[in-house]
Amino acid sequence: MPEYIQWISTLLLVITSFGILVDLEWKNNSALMALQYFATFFLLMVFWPINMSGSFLIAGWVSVLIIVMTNQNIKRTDGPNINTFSLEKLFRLFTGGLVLLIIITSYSNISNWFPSATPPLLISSLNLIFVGFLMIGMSQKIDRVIFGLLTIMTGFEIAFTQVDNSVLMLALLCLILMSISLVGSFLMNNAEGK
Amino acid sequence: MNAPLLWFILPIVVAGGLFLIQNDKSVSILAGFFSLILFSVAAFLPPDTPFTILTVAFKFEPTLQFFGRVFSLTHSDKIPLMYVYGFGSFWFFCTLAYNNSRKAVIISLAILGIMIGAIAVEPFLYSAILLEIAALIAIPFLVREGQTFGRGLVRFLINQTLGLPFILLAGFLLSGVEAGPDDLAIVLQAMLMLGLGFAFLLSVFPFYTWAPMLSEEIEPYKLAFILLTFPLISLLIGLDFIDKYAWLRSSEILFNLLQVVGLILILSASIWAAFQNHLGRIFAFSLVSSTGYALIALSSSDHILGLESFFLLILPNLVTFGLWSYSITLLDEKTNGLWKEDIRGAAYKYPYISAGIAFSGLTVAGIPLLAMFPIKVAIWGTLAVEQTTSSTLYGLAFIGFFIASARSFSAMLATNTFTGWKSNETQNQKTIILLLVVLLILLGLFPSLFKPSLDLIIEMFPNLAQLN
Repeated sequence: MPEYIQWISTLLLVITSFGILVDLEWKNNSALMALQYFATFFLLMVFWPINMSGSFLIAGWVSVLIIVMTNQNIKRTDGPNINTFSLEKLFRLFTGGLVLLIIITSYSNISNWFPSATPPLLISSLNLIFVGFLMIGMSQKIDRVIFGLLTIMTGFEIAFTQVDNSVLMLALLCLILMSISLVGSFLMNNAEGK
Repeated sequence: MNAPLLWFILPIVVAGGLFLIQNDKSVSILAGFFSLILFSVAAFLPPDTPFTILTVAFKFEPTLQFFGRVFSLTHSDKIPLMYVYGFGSFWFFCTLAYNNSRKAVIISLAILGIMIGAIAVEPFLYSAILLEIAALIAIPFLVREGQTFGRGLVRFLINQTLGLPFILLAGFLLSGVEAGPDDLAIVLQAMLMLGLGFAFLLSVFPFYTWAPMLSEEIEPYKLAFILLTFPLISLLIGLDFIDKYAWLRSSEILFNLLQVVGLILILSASIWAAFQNHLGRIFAFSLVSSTGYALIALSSSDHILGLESFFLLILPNLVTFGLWSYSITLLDEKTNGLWKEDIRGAAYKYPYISAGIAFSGLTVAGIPLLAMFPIKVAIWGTLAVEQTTSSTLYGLAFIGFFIASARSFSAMLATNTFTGWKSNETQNQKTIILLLVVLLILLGLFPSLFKPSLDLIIEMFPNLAQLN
């Protein structure tokens, strides 16, 4: 995989993860999440063959689809002023930026842990993991928590590609991605059924 | 016949089959007897041990191959098999007393099967994945029928999920350490990842906040199931890690760390418990502390003694929290809440249930003659020889749990309109509570009565035992 494609994927991952962190509208979040898996697909191809990367992409899209369908079925309405600019969004953007800054500045230290990882691969992975933590920490809405967990898992998956390329591990991780979404869907249905 | 098929796959299949049965009680009875059978087979016909039935020689084959991975249950896995299915059987029979327990029984039987799979699987990386699958399956059974959920459940999901990637990365780093054990940087990285992964899985301080939250949201017996099985299996897997890697088991830092983490856990849980006004929260903090006691037991420099204490703690834990969860769930159903105001005067209407709660609370507080006293005092003694400060802190934790227990009992006794004592429990409920109380006293008087054989413990963790 040429390095410039890896860098484009990394840029896309940073934009999509920041988008999910800042934007509170579930339709936009779902679209960004789907885009995130698409960008991940190219990064996974650095170490994995196309069929394994493709399987992960499909599993990711299926998990996003589960959340989208659940949101549509429960006829969810987001709160007022969700699309307007607010201090909360600015704060989220600021924390995300801070995390990215920390990752870039401490890159040389962290890269020793994963000597075979290329710079875009490692930056993408760490960015997804830490932004995922921010998503979990900053929201109590179940779909945002699920997106946070999926983002963290995707980040780890990118780091993990260089370690393990077994089909069984991939299958189990895909199963877990989809199970997290299913559990999220179950919880969203229960939360709305108050 | 294959051992992993019997103890890992079959329970999952049977759990699937039980979905066809609609009656709550029938499901509990069938699951209870099924677990009892698996327990008995593990006790008398353990895996990989030849035996003869009516002149026919027979043996449960220890390994099962699955996509190149191996599930292996040998004779040394007899103890976890017995604990898991013995506890399962006891728990399933107890659910006969509860309403709407069908879904919980079915899912928990599947979880027990997956837990055994997590113990059996090689390479160990897959244990974390199986534990995560078990946690995800547990979510639907943790939501109260017809009610919404709270933050505790979401936190439980987050904590269990976060444990997985850390263990996976630790697995990768551990293989690097095996290749070059002198590289201190890799050793530290592997320990950090492993520590974080197990911190999430074992729900140590500060990752246990979901437990008291969850105790307000779900029935206590479900919480007991989660907090008795997940940490126990995670600890066994962790011990397996330590036993497997020479650099890990010979590390003094690791055992000191276990002690510190255990002490912080029991001390923080006991302080929190002492100030709670909700019986479920006291119960949750006490449950969480059981992992702390196990960690302290394992931190002993005499590893055989540590392992013995760890295994000696398991049965009293199961009986104590079994009795506590049984009593508290019944009280919750009868009083429609476990807040101090809800349970005022409950001791006069439900004396057996209240006695069950009092006895189990006092057992956790380490009161003499009750089940946990001999073991907790033995651990205290070992600690006192090695670390004076740690042993003082360890002693302080008893006070916290004693205050919590005394406060909950005084809340059940407090009333403005005393109309005399009248038992409103059914005969079955009284019998179960009495039997468990007698068992608590028996375990306190004769702690070695149900002690697992030392040979079996050494067989389970041969390298760790050899360190002495």
